[in-house]
Amino acid sequence: MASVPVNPEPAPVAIRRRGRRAPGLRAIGEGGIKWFTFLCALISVITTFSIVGVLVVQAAPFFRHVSVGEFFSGTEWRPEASPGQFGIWPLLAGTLVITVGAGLVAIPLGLLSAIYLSEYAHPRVRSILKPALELLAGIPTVVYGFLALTLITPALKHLLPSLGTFNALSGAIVVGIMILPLVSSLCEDALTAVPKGLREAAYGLGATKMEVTLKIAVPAALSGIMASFILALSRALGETMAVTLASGAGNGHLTFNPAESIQTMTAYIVNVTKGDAAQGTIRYNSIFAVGITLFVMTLLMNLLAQKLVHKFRTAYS
Amino acid sequence: MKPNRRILIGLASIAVIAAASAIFIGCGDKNPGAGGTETSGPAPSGGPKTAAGKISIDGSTTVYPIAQAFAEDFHKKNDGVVIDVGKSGTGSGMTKFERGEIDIAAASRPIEQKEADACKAANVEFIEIPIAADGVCVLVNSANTFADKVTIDELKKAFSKGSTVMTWADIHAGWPAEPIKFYGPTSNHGTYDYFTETVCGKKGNLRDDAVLNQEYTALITAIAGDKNALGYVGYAYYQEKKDQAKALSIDAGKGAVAPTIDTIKDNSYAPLSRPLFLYVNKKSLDRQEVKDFLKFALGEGKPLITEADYVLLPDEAYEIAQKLVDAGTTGSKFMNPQPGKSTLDIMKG
Amino acid sequence: MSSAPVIAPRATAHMKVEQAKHRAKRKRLDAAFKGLCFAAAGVGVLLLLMLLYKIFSEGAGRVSFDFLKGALSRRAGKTGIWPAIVGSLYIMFLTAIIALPLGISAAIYLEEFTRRKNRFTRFIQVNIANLAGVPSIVYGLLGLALFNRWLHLGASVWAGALTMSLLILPMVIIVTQEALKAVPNSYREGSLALGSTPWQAIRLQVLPNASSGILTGMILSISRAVGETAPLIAVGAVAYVTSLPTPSNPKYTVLPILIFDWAGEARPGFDKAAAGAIVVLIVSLLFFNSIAIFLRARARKRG
Repeated sequence: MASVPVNPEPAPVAIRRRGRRAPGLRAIGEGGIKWFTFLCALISVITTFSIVGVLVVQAAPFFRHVSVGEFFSGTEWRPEASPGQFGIWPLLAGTLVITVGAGLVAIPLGLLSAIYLSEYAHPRVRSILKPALELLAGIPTVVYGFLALTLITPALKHLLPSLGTFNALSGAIVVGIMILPLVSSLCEDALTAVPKGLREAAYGLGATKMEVTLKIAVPAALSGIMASFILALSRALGETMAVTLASGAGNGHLTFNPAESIQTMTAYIVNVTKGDAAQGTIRYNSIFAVGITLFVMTLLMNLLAQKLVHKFRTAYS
Repeated sequence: MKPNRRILIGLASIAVIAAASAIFIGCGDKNPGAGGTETSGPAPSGGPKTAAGKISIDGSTTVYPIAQAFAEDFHKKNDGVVIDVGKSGTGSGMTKFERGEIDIAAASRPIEQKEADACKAANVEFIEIPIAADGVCVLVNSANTFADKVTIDELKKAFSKGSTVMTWADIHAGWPAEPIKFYGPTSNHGTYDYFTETVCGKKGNLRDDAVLNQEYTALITAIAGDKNALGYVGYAYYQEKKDQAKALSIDAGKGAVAPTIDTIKDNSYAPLSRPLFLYVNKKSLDRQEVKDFLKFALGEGKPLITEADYVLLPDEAYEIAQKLVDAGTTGSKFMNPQPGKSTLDIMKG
Repeated sequence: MSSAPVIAPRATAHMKVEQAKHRAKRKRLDAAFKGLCFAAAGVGVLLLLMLLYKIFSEGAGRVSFDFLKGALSRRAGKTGIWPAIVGSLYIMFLTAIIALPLGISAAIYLEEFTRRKNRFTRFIQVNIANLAGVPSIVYGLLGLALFNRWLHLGASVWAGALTMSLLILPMVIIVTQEALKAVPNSYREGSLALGSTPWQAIRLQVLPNASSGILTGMILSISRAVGETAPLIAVGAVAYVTSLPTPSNPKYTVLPILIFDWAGEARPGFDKAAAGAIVVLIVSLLFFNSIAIFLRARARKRG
């Protein structure tokens, strides 16, 4: 044990060197490898700190110009105006309309199809549908943006002739379709993880399949299901390309009307970086302030989802 | 043995994919042009061929169709020259130009004093080349049947900051009292600067509730899809959707004039006719490829301007510009506004 | 109490009828619910099939050898996508070279070298899970400030690849960890018992047995990098380049950006070109992903 390499923390337990005659060179190699892998793991931590650091440092000049209170309470987002108005609520409202709309599309459809897959579908059907869903989840988001413009918006305009080419509705629907595979795949995982014994006990008492599903399986998997909803909504919240293409630029006015053209936080960032706002201007720094808001919101949602998953796992493992 | 074989297969397949892609890229490197363009052999058509080099262009979205066409056709003849064209907007392009990041800045308005100062501070000297004429078109949706012409005063009333105009009736008595939706490009665009300065009296003096787009394509698509739209955009972008959008005739006191090739050319579509510019870093002119590119743009490339739906300046203007390039004459003649004077007159003066 | 026997038969009869009714109602509800679930799954599948159909019906006709190998053009009918394909391949390989070794090493550290979780590894673990949920555009902001401006990489393929590497790193780590977790502990213990060092046990026993899982994760992560658009827009990929990226001129464009640009294009014909580019992108991604899913299914069956 004398030659155990310097470890960044207590010696590993599962893999511990048993050999007594370790040549020095090999020990150094072993230690080097462990150190190398440790540094690699550290990169993820560095990344997090860089994200936070970059956002805060770059947003600082913005907040010298616009007070934090003004930023979070203002209801006009007009970086172009002179003097610019930087109240984030119009962007938050745009993001909210997209997220809620996408949730309204994806959550019922996703949950019900997950129930179908886990409770009703023939194993063979499931063995085809499940991977198919995962494949679809891999379609790039810009493709959904294209579909919003060429398929969904024209269809909506057919129903509502007064609708503009860029509107929140089309963006919300397409993002909903986009996160649908995610919702149903994760919900199905949660439902499948519910022990068979619970269901069988209910069947034994004469319950129908619907009763077993709604009163036993779904409640038992509830924290897992909720986690999948939150993860999917957080995806919708951070979604960029589809909404940028589908929903336009908005006019910086606070609106929750899905028929209007809106701008989400993500779309604002993309639009500014596309114009490559010069470094040092308030528009350039404003994207980092918006970035912080976006980062914190998704972080909170992800932490909540993780907590729920943890709760779910400890209940059934 | 089995696990080892599996990892071998895995590594081998990755290696095969990597190798295949490397070959793929490799053969592309030799042949970067349009399908089947050969690197060896004579250039497809006359003129000496520039061996190699690179040119960076960025700036005006309005000028982008022209710059892209120049780049594409110049590259076809000189496939050793690498050209990239951005469209981040005149203001953004100028910032990059000041930093010396690009060779040519495309601009839909003359350089500003503070930009020229920044160039001076960074030791960037520039040559100013008017490349084409454009008319800023004031557009409504083609479903709009009542509006055909508008006066500059009415536009000023409608678009200026703090405007109380909310419906069409507020602009012009007799038009319906339906709410208007205002559209325009974002403030990093030269068209924004030009329009607000010319119509609203001061740069940036625009009403707060207009929908501002970074992309002109999105802007024109939005106007084409909104029956209560009122917006402005360069002539070429109007041409892209002229079946779904309608350009209003502009009355600046001498009767209403519609934007057409002719009225833009003779400057009677006033005051919204304007020259478009290329600003060239003088240092870049030391490089043969940049010289050749400008020669192409001011000579045989001129038809591309018409093709891109912009208006050619008089031939003399291009000759003067070529002389500026040859002599390396720097400075701007357009920085201070000279209303009423034609582009050619300003160049001569 | 004395009246109870009189009422009871009536009550039970009544109850039986009620029960039968109730049961029938429950059965009907059950059937309706099954139908609802089936319909939901059907609607989902139909929607997605419709989207795919739309893309292929518009774009498949546009795909040809000239389209694949052609240069970018302002003319929708003549344009090719070769520079974008090459740009995407560059991003793919540079990202793979940077992110995969780092990610796999990090996973080895977390799964193999520190089997007993301490506060630090738990922190790293939570951190990685959170990074995986950070919106891609935020990575774009990071790359913009860090690589473009601070390291002066500008709008180069390097800045793009570095940004993408950070983006997929959490995903690579998580999937590799899953693969390593699936290797039974007895393999490690057996190897160690025979006198191997920990690294020998990892290299000779654990990694080979986790290989198909790791490979799956690698493919899925890389295809994520190929499909992402937003971060690359933020780090300044340009829309139009005449040539392919080279070491001396590392400006580039990628397929998703081209699609984004063309989808927003107002001129006629570019929608078809965009659809054609989407077909190329989707077919290659679906191909990669189905290999990955197939590999995983096989590994699961075996395990």
